[in-house]
Amino acid sequence: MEETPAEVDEQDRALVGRYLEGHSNAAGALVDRYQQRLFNVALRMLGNMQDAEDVTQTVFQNAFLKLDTYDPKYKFFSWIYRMTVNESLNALKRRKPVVTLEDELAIPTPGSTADDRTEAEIRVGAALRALKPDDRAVVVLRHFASFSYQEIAQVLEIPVQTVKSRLFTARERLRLTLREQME
Amino acid sequence: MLSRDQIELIQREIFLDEGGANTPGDSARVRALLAADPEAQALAAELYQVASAFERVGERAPPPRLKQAILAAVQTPHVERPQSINRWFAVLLQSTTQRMEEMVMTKKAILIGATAVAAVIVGAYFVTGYPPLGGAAGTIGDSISGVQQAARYHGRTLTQADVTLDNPQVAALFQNHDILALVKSDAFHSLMANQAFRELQQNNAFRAILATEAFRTVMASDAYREVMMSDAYRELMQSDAAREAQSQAWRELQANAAFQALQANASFRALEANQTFRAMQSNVSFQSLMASSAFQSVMANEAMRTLQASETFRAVAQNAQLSQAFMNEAMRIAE
Repeated sequence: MEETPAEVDEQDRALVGRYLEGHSNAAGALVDRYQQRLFNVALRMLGNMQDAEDVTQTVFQNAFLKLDTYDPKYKFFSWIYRMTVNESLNALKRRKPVVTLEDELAIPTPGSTADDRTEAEIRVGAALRALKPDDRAVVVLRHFASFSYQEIAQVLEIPVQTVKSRLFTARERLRLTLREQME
Repeated sequence: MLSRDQIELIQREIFLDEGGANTPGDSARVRALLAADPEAQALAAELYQVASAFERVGERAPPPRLKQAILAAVQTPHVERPQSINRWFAVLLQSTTQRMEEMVMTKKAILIGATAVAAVIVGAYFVTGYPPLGGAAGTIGDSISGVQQAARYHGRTLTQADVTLDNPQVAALFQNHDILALVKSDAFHSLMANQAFRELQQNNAFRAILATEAFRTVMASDAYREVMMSDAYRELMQSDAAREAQSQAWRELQANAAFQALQANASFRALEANQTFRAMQSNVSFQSLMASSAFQSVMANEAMRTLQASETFRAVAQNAQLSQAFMNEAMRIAE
């Protein structure tokens, strides 16, 4: 059964506490809980598997290094997602992706045929890259991490109204980009 | 023409945003709009295509090595905490467990090895003064298009004391085919033209690394030479060919005390955390050079190794002015 947000938060706090007490398995549990989600956020932000892997690794390393200064009044998931988005934005600034998802389509994701997934990956990847990074972050958190407006606002530390505005702009851009792809 | 409010209503109806979904009344307005307005129908159809495309994009599983690499970097608080992410290399090097071997496979670990390699190539290039182009060895201050040189270097020529051309070790390098081939290579020229690489030359941590005793010792070690000579290393720099990272030579280097000392060095850690250095590491030219056969040949060269372990090399590395002069010359050549 899927955890409620409150249960997620409670479980995260417990694991952080155990980690800080010196229980080494708590680190593995936190990685298990978040690595795939953070990796996919980074992947959609960057469009590159290797860059996404680097960002995810950096985020976890920095997170564990800073855990003893982590303020538990904030939600752990907001904190680590924020680090992921920020690190991805930093990576976008300093790197020019060499290989994009279109070049890395050999591995199908579960539950979809290769052709179907390939076409969607290509189209969505290109459309996401057409967005400004800040707008892309909102779209990725909404559509690939399934966050609510409020959660996106917490992660990005922006007002909910800004989330709505960016989503509106981004979706219009996505719509037009996909239309151009079809023409 | 649809208003922004109408478009937003249709967007929310289609994307079913949590925390922002339409009220029943809003949904009724959308239905009425779609029934009456062809433009709204067309907009909705296109938004459905966006939503459909998103749904078909599946979630990717991260590489299995990612978790291993992350956990390898983590020490729990009851033991000594790493002061920077590079501390995990020290942990890595003290263990021969399977987990440690797998950790070596990560790209970041490989690039740490390349740190020393980059330092080698800079130093080697500098002290050789790039003779094969036929100009005066070590001449600096030539006009470089698009590059503003420091005024104090204009027209100045490096003296023998600067470049130590009379040093027999350096003189031997001038005659070396491998080294000439390296500095003539496209990959090397490309790297010289890279902005991140140029900035790196001015980095204090980078220069400090070149001057450390640990660096000199590593350069002189057989383990380092064997790694640099190996096909495994070349393949490693070209890809994340994990199995190759497990080569015996690589493991021996990891276990080398001097290599461990180098990575534990404060300057080394500062360098690894440096944004410019990280940008340089991800540079295609840099990676291409590291993987080139010309570079491998130089790494296997005995004269080069001797020089790298010498006081000459150390003196050059410590001198900021010479570092600047090197970059001026490097940019002239790469032009």
